[in-house]
Amino acid sequence: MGVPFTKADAWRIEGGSAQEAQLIEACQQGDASAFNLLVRRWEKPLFNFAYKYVGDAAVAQDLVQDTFVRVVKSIGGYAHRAAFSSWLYSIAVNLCKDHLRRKKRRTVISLHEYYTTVSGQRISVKDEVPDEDARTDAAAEAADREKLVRRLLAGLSEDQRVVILLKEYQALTFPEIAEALGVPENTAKARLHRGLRAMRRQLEREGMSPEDGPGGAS
Amino acid sequence: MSEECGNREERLVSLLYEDGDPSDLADIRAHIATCAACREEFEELASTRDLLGAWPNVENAPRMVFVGEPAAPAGAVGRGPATSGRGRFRAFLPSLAAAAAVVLLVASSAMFLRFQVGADGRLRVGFGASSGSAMDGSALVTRGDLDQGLARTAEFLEAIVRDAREQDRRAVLDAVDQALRDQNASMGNQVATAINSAFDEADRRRRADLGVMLSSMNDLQVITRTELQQLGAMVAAVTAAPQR
Repeated sequence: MGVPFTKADAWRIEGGSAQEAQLIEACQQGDASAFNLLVRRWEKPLFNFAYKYVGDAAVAQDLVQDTFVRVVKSIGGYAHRAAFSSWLYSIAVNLCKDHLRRKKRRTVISLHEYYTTVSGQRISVKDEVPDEDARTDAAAEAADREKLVRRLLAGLSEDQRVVILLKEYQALTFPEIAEALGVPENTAKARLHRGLRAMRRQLEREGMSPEDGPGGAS
Repeated sequence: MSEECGNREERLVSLLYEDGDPSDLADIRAHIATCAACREEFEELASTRDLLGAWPNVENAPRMVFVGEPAAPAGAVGRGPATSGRGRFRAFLPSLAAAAAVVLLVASSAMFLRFQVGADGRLRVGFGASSGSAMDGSALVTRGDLDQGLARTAEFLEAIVRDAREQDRRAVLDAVDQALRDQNASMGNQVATAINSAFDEADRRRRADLGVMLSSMNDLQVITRTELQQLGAMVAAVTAAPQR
């Protein structure tokens, strides 16, 4: 069975569209090329989600791979009751949670004390003494702000963090997030609200505000 | 704060992301225009949300290629030896293909598994484009990766080559290399073709052992990045075997 779009089109397939339904049906019927399109459509968002969740690019790659393996094994049972994105992210969330749970048993170091980039660089999220020369550089300022966000997110509860990752960086709708996490929609919203509030409180404790954090406007 | 501030958390978050029923969002907008407390909180949420943009998504996320056949019907997986040499191996192939096989590639566009015999007589395993003779260096399976390979499978193929005459050994390597160069097919097919070619060229006495090895791979269920590296280890071990 063929699907009437190419890998180049894969990015344009929208959630809940007839194209998506057609693609899923082709996958359910064992069409390998359709599954490749599905992978193409979702590999990048899933990687970014897993990367932000576990903080290690190599681990994120493995988790995305595991997610797709589970999708292959169980897509036959996907019945379109929930949005496909919800179904997909529920798998990814569970795998990420399992990974962190296993990791917690092995280490007492904060999971997000360090993160490993796509290029394999291991970076601490702790504040560092600012290099005055570097702070005049826009890239260094952006890096400082990114590090701040990583640290603030790492300080949230896992429940709060995962909702922020799904909403802010994956642009899922609240109903989709609720489906993916198996919680009422208002619970997802409340967690997001509390997460943002907690981030702000943390900034205030450190004498900063979102506007004038590292590298931000003063 | 008034009664209209009820469910404030949920409502403000809905407005923050413009994710909700349009009429509800209009109500919330109207409310925060008149309620200083909710307006202040909304503005704080918005500025905190803005900060999240400082951690952008990675654009060069690693690419993945699916190399198997999903949702294989029950019973499609071949088990047990067949009667002829090639047929025996073919009997194992469907199970490899039917496995939920996903190979992770740190690469872009169409990439293929490539084997190349170097000037030192060793086989290099890597990912490369379908055309051109040079190996792409970006995603080569390193010696370190190969060292983590399956000792058992390496031992089988090493034995095949050890027991073969030198010209047979070269034929195995050449056949693998040629198969991978000629085929404009998926990586899964290329791997299968390469193994088939090696099998065709191998000493007949070792084919049963190779069949056992491949049968054991059925239990892996998936071809993961690690397992692909193990396959590389298997072939690298062949080339590292002492010549006779």
